[in-house]
Amino acid sequence: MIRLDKIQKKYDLGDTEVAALHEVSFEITAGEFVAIMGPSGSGKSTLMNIIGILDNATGGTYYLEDYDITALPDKEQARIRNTHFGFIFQSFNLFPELSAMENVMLPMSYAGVAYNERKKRAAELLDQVGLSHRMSHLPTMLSGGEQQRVAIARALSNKPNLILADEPTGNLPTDKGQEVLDILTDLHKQGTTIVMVTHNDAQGEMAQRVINIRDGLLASEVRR
Amino acid sequence: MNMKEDLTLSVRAMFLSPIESMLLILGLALSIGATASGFGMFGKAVEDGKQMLKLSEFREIVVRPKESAEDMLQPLVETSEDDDFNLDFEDLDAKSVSPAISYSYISSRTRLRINTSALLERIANREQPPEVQAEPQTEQSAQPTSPADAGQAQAAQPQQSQPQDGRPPEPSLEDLATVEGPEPTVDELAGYEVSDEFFMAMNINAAQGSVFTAQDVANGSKLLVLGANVAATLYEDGEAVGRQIASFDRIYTIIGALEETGTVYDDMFFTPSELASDSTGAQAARGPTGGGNESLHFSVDDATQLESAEAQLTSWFDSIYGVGMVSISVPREEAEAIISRNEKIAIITLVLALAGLLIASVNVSNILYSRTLRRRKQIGILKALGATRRDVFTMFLSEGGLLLVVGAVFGIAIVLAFSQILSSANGEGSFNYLAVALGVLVSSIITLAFTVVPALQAAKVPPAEAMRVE
Ligand SMILES: Nc1ncnc2c1ncn2[C@@H]1O[C@H](COP(=O)(O)OP(=O)(O)OP(=O)(O)O)[C@@H](O)[C@H]1O
Ligand SMILES: [Mg+2]
Repeated sequence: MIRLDKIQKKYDLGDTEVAALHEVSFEITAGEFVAIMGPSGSGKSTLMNIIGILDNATGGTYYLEDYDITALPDKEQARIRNTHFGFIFQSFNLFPELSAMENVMLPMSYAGVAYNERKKRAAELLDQVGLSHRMSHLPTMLSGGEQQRVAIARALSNKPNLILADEPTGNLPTDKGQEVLDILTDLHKQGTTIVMVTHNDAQGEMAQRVINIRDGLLASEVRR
Repeated sequence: MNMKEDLTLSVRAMFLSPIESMLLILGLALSIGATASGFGMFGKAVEDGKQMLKLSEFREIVVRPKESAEDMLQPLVETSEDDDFNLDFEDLDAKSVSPAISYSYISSRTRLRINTSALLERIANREQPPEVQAEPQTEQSAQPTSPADAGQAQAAQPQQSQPQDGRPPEPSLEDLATVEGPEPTVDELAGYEVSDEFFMAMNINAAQGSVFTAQDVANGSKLLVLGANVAATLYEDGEAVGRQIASFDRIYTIIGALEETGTVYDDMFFTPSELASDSTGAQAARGPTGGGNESLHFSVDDATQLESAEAQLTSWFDSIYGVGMVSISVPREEAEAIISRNEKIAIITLVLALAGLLIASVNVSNILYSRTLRRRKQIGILKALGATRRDVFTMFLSEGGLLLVVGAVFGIAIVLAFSQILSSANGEGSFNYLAVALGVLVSSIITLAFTVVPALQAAKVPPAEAMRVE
């Protein structure tokens, strides 16, 4: 599904350059559950950004379904992010001005889904993550766990092929984190590809494959 | 309304920072209001100027005797008898000096005192001394008249009609003419004595009846032509043409009512100039207001020929009355000076308003830019969820646009308030509303241009901002 070939990422800080990734190459097959692990500052988030085309690599080639998408125009990149990927962030990243329902509806509006259709699907998704009674609540009125479940519903709104989750449980107490993980495992069972960054070894065990990163290099890879 | 969620987001964000939004709107409203008012004032000045110069008065050259005030500047200098002169009807022949002059007429202000029944009654009372009136009838009939009494009463009557103590002679009852028909609603009218070409020069036609002719003027016919308002209000029934009016010992016939002109002429009457027919003695008979204020008017079709016609008239009058004896003026020149001054004032106001608009726009731009900085993360998330650069640009431009629309609405309210203040000061519409609309449009475009910059900045925020953890 995704193939990275010698991907490099250097941050230009004016007088110095920080190399966050050195020639990382690996592949993600459809239907996989991949965990990315490594110490703080090793480049996990940088790698996630590149996989999710939130950032462009400064070297190497990115293949999506065998197409070279290393340097696509903004509009195409936005479309891929919108319809192929679903993002789940450590700090939830919901819009505080919008209700749970509206947060879930938002990515569908960029996909051109009609209002009523958006609304219907958002209600279904919120129901699916167990929040049918919280649809018109603003994020500030929801607990952390509930907020992250809204974020998952939002990530699923355009039926993505790939879920990218950067430390999705990092801001949650253990039991709420477990709820989120259960949802992800369910999604994986239904056929969704998942790439998740985690610091937690136990969570890593749930993945089929663990990629260890150290100082911007692929240190080791464990398959189960 | 089913907005896209990113716009809902924008609108709610604006309500969540109400003070900032209100300051922005206030700034925009004031500057749009001021700019649009500036445009409206300028438009009005130009429009009024054009309108004013279209009036027939401003295609005329006016000739008057030199002001008597000027004579007083040199009272010690020996003055000849000829100094005290009036222009006369024959001077209208000066028309022939230039082919550009199409009409000429003589004009002087006058008033018409109407012999109303109230006036007649008052004079009748004055002629009957109060003693005689108060004398009881019963006493006269009951007692056989004593010779002394009878003689006194008879002597009293003729005594009364004699002028007393050198007072000016009052018109006596039998001198006053009277007419049949309904009573006019007023006892005095203001108007002009003019010669026949006045109506052609001013291009005013009769709406009813007719105006008087050269023949009428030459004959000294006692005719009246009424301005539109006078014609409509002089009699209670609104009918005037064909009726007669008595003034002192004369009877005037109303032969025409003029069409409405929107000028002072609507409230005036016009009667054939007596200078055209009268002997010199008539001057005195016309009473205290007649005479002395005659002016000759020469009217051209094409305003550009005013200057050459003026020069030709000047040399004509100089050759007859001597250099500098008459004053020749072109009202258009004075009007043009006033109009150009008004336009300049309007332009200065407009420039000041535009300066205000610029300051407000820069501020709007600044605040929107700082909003962009504060919202980098939000923009990053929007992009991660599928927003294109264009989507973000549109969203931020819409925010500016929304502020602008609300600001423009309040701005228009300010324009209306200004207009109210100005029109209560000068009694008429004070703005050209087409120009106001243009002003709103121009200031909106300028402000929108200033919101483009921060919107472009917002569109450039990278999607990776979404991943950053503070
Ligand atoms: N925008 C940036 N500009 C400059 N340097 C950056 C930027 N983002 C990341 N880096 C640097 O790149 C390296 C990798 O950062 P990254 O965020 O990928 O680490 P991480 O593995 O996600 O760490 P953590 O576990 O703390 O989230 C770090 O040295 C970091 O300082
Ligand atoms: Mg990270």
